[in-house]
Amino acid sequence: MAILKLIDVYVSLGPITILRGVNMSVVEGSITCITGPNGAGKTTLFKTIVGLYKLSRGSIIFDGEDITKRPPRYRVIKGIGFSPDYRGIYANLTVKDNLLLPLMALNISKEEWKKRLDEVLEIFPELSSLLNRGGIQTSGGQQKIIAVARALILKPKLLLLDEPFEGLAPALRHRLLNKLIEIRDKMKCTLLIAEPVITPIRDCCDHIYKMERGTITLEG
Amino acid sequence: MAIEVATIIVINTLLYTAILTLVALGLNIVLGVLKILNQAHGIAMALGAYLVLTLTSLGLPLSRPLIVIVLLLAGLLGGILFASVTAILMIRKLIYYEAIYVLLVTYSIMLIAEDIIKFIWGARSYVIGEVYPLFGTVSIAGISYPVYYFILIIAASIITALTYIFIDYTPLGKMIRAVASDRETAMALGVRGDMIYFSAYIVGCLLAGIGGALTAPLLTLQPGFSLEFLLMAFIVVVLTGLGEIKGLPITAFIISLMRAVAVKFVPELEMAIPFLAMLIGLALRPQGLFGRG
Repeated sequence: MAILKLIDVYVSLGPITILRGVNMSVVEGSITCITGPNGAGKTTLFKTIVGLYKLSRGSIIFDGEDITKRPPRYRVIKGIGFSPDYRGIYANLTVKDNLLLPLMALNISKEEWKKRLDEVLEIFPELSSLLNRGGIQTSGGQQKIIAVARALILKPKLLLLDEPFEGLAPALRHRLLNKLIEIRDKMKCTLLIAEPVITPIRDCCDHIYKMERGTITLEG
Repeated sequence: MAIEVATIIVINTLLYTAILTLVALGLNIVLGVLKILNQAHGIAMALGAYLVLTLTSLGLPLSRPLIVIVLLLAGLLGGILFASVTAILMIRKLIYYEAIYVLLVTYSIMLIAEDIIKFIWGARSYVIGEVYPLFGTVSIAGISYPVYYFILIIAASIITALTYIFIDYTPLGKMIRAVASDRETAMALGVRGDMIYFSAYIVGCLLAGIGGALTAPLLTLQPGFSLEFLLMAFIVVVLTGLGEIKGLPITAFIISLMRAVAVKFVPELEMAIPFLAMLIGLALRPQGLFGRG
C-alpha cells in the first residue's frame, strides 16, 4: 500500500517552474530513493511534500489523506519527518535542544521528552556525548546524524532524507546506511531518500526514481 | 572634581544603558524573528510613557509600591496596545515584503501614530513630577541623585535578565531562536510560525512599552520624544548584529558611555559620536560585534 502519492505535481518558485508533473508513489515500509543531478528538483520535491512550497497544480496524498493544502505543522503531526540537505542544525541551540525542538513545537509533555530522547540515542549512541555541545560545535558528519535523529524523534511514518550521505566519509556512510535499514525495520518507518549518486545506497533501495529537470524520467 | 565628573558619567551611562537595552532588545528580537526593522518601535515606548502620565493624573493616592505598579502596568498596556493594533499587519503582510517597503510602511505607521498621540494627549510638553519625591534622593561624591535613577537601573536590569532567561531556557524562547535563525527548517519540524512571530512581536513591544514607562519620570514628554531612543536603539542593533541579542547589553553600554562622555564634554556631538561609532563598527565588522560572520 502506498503511504505517499504524488499526482501530477507542479511547483513554481517565482516565474520558474521547478517541478513539472511529478507522479510517484512510496510504498509503506519501503526504502525509496530519488536520484538525479543537482538542480533536478529533488530538494524542491521534498520541501513540497513537507509543505514549505505550494503546488500550482496536482495533489499530495499521505496515509490516505489529501494533504495538498495542509500547512507543514499538520504534516509533521500526521507523521512526515524531514532531514534537509543543508542539515538545518541550529548553531545557537545545544545538540539536545536541536533534537528536542520538534517535541517542543508539538507541545509534547516534558515527561515524554526523556523517553523519546533515549529512544533516539539508542539508535545513535554517538550523540550522547554531544548533547550539551552547541550546534555550531559539531562537525558536518555529526550534523547529518543530528538532523536524521531530530527527524526521527517524533516517530514519523515517513522520513524524508535529503542527501543524507553527502560529504560523509565512506565508513560513516556505511554506518548511517545500516542505521537507516535498522530504522525502517525496528521503527516501521518508510524512508524516502534523495541522493545525486545512487551507487552507494542502491543495494538497500526497494524502489528507485530518477529525476531530471523537474520530472520523473525513470523508475524501477 | 574628577570623581564628581566620573560619577556623573557612570550613573548616566548605567541609566541610559538600562533604557536603551530594553528598547534595542525588543527591536532586535522583532528584527531577528520577523526580519522587520520596525521604525514604529518607538511608538510602543511613547505609549508606555504617555500612559504613565494618564495613570498618575487620575488622582490616585500614590505610594512607592503603587507607583511601581503604575509604571509596570502602563508599560505593559502601552506595549500590548501597540502590538495589538499593528501585529496583524506585521505578521500577515510585512514579513513577506522587501526591506524597502517595510521601512516605508513602518515609517508611515510611526508618523500616523505620532499624530494620534498628539490628538489624544495634545502637542504640549508634560513633566511627571509625582515620582521623584516619593523615593527621595541620595548623595554620591557630593552630588545628589534621585533614588528613582537606581530603581530604574535595577528594574530594567531585572526585566532584561528575565527576557534572556525566557529566550535561553524556555521552549517558546528556544523556538523563537530557531525561527530567527532558520525559519524554513523550524516550520518543517512542526514549529507554528504565526505563533512564534506573534510571541516575538509581543515580547518586543512589551520591552519598548516598559522602557517608555520606566523612562517617563525622567523626561519631558512631548510628541516625538521616543525618536532619540529609537535612533540610539538602531545603532545598538546594528553594532550588536542584526537580529542578534547575545551581547546586546554590552553594546548598549558602550554606546551609552560614549554618549555620556559626549554630553559631559562636547554636548553638541551627543548624537554624532554614537553614529560615528556605528559607521566605524560597520566598516570594521559589518556583521556586528556579536553577529556571526
